[in-house]
Amino acid sequence: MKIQAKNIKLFKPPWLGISVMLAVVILSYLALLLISRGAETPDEGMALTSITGLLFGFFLLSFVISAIAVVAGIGGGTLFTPFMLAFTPIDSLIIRGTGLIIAMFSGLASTGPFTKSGIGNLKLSIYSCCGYGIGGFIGAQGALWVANQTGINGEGIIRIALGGIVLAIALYFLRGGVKREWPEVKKVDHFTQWLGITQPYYEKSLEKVVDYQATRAGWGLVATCSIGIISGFFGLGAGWAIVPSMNLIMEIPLKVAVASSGILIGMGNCITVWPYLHAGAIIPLFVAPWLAGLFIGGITGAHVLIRVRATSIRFILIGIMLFSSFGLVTKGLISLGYIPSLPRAAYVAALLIIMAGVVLAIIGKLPKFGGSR
Amino acid sequence: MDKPKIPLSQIVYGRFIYWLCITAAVICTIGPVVAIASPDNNFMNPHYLFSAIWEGKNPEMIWLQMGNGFPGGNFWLHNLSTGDGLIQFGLAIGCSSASVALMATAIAYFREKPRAYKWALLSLWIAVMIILSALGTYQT
Repeated sequence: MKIQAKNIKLFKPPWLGISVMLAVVILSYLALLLISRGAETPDEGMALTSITGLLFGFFLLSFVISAIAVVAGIGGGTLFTPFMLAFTPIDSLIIRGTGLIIAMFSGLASTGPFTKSGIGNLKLSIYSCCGYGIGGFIGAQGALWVANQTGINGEGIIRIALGGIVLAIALYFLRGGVKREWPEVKKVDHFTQWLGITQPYYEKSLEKVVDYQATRAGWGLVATCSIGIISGFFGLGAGWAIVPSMNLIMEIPLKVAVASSGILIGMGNCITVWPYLHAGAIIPLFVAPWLAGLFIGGITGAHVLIRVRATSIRFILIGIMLFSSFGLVTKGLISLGYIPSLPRAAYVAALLIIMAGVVLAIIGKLPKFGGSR
Repeated sequence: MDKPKIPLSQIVYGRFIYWLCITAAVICTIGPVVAIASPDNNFMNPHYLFSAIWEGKNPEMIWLQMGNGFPGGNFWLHNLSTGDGLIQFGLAIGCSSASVALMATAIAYFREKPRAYKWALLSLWIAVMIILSALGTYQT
């Protein structure tokens, strides 16, 4: 009977989705391996075995990015875009377009569990998407316009600007973030009341129904519109900004804000990503291997990796962001001609210093930072 | 304590997104197999594509060098048998999933009691924004 019960569980979401995806991934990569073995390589072309290895590498990387992003509570794009822009020579428009697809897919993958459990508030996501979608579309159009107008200088400026943003996010995370788990709403304005945006949900950790309130929905919309512009322009997921804006401006409980921002990023980036698709900035074969890894990693992260010590993940994430920020700023300054190319040793030294800081933070040897995490 | 009932609209949205997402990911996983099996039957020959990307060439240059330039975001409509056409089809499903799910959600909002007209209209509004974006309206 037990085996039967387990079998039935495997055929129900989310395990059904993971089983299907795993089967397709295994069969596809086996097929790729068989096809590419012994295939002829044209002059100056890349061998099919190398391409297969590259695709599999992207798949593994996307799995790790997605799992870390879910555990850390940020979008996958926030990790992918800065890292790729900092440490690969790939054109920024291609990276930003792919970053948006990654952010969108990690949001979509987490939508099912969040809506089913009731923690995610679809009304809140739909309302916020009205601002985020418009902002994101404007941001994406702006990115394409800037890329057409500014050429190599624009690439440098974009890298430096993104380096600054990533550094700010890392410092924000280092402080633990200013968040309130259960905000107390003193006065609900007429507009928010008219919207009727809230809905009660069962909070497992408290074993009770939480019937929360919201306020300042108008300002919340302005905030999500501004966040959408940054997200669309730089190809980032924007969970790091949406969660605090919902939590601090609209006074939504932290858990609901996290879940609803995931739903919103999936929904909103469906608007934002199309300008990149129509401009040819999304190269199909380059993007394809990321999707399966994102899906499997996202669901695994949400259901299994939740047991991992979140503090350690947070420090590793901060380390990755600081190193990406260093790479972005230096690469931007080099391409603008302000500094000469740095020797490889400089990057290794920066990486070692950051890694030492991360290890010290994990074992508790660094001074504690403020915040209410 | 009784758990509050999850609104039908929310369940509908989650289900649609879940299955459309899986469909998109499956197609995008099979797509590279088709692309690698017949490298010449693609808009961009995989043998040369990744080195062009790694050289830092911009998208316009890459599409131009690999073929006759970018054929448009919806090129998959007439090229489903090619590897990159199939992948683009998968991407199109993923990138339009929210519009389909929101239309179904709007119907659920209309059927809920009491009827949630404003939420149905907001759902349809976002679905329309996604469709306009997918059709390439207001493209710079």
